[in-house]
Amino acid sequence: MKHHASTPVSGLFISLIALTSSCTSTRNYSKFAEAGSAYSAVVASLADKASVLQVDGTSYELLAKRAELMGSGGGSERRNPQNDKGKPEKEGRSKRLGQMLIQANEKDVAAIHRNRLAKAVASDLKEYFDALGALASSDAPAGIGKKAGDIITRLNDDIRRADPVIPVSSSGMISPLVNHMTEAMLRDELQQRKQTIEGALEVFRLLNMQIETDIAGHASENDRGFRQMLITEPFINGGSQAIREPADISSWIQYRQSSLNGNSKAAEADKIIDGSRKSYASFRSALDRMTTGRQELSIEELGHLFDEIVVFSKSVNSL
Amino acid sequence: MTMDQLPKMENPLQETNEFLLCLSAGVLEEQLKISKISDEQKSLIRLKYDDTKREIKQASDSWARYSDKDRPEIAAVMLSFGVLLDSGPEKKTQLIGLIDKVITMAERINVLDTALMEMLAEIWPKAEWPQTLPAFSDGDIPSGALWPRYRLKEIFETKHARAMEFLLNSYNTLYKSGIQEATAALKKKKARLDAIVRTLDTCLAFMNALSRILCRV
Repeated sequence: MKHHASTPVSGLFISLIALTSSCTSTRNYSKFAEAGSAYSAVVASLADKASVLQVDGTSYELLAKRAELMGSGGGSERRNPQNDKGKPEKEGRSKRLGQMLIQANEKDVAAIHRNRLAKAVASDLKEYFDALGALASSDAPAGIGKKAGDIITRLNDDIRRADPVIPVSSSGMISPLVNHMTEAMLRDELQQRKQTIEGALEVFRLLNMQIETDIAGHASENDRGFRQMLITEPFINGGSQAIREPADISSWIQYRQSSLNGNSKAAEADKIIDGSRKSYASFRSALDRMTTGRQELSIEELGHLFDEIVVFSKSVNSL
Repeated sequence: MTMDQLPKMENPLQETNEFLLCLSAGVLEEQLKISKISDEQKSLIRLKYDDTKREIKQASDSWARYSDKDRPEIAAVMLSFGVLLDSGPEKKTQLIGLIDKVITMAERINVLDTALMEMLAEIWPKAEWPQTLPAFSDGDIPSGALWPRYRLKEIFETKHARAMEFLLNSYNTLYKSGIQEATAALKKKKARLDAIVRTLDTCLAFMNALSRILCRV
């Protein structure tokens, strides 16, 4: 009788194992969520970098406009201190410079605000992937399996004590069953909301591309501005921007060194953009494979995706 | 980059447009019910929903015409200018002669055309710092009237701002509540599993207590 009772249980167990092994494991979902969260976090830092480069770019632009307004090298005012027309001219210039600065500040504040809003989008997606990861890596299914197993074992002991011939259930069934339920829950969650997540990711990708393009432009502007304002201008112009004091000379030599020997923001920006696009493409392909189930993703592949995003993250921080 | 290398761009709003077909006002309302965003933001989303839908449809519809007609013309001018920007003083006259046309073309770039926006991002910093261009290496820098050095930057920044605002608006109106709903659902599922663990704990404790009582009896 006991033997008869254990047969369907074994059958169920085998089919459960088969069912479980055909699904993406909770470990895979956890790793995938980790990659999604890391990618969202990197894009958030990319938005911060864009703000920094934007403000620096505007500063170079302001300095160039100021130099134009003051006359070549900004020295004309010094050369004619006693000029009768000097005072109203100086006032006019000051007014224009003030207006220019206010407009530039407003423009930069608006750009920073937009980048912050883009960060909020990244933060929404990060929160989603964190929640997915928390469910996937939760120890609750194991806890349920163990505790339910303990309860069944206790009940079995009591049943056996009361009547040794009554068939009892296997306590080892619970853990794989709960695991399977969690995997099914994760799969359903991703599949049901695939369109929303894909749509949001697509808008996120376009936002990210806009940020990247902005970074590329401003990084190149920064490099050119740096060379012009800190290296060329002080070297060719006399007056207030001349290299006179030992400290100026030392700074100029240092600036020239860093400008010519590997301080190129544009080159760093190119690397970042390349890394960002690769990370997005890998991540998007992983999402497709996780949601369609056509081609399983191994834990090694997901680990590789995560590593790729970590490398991207490091290059963003180096800019 | 040559014209052959210019990537052919599919409508960037294709996916959003398809998503919109599924996101009826009713579906949006359901998402808003669950979403944790403030009532004020919810009202704003309701108000913006129709406008955003219309804007996306318009932008999407105009893409085909832009892609076939405007895009190749703009790209050709930008590419020639890009080559001249890297040329020596012998091309100075041609370079100066082309900048007004480049400005006109840059103004026509669709803000979501990432390939041409990238091309513009490569060009404007060079135009902004003419002193750094090989064409003007003889120190003969054109005046502001001949070379409006900041104009391409202004165009880029205005277009970039518009694109960002459009995309942020699309996300906030169409996807934000859905993503938040999905996050809340995941958290709820995890909380449910945690609650089962707690219930089983209680069961075990109850069984232990019952067993002790029965043993005493």
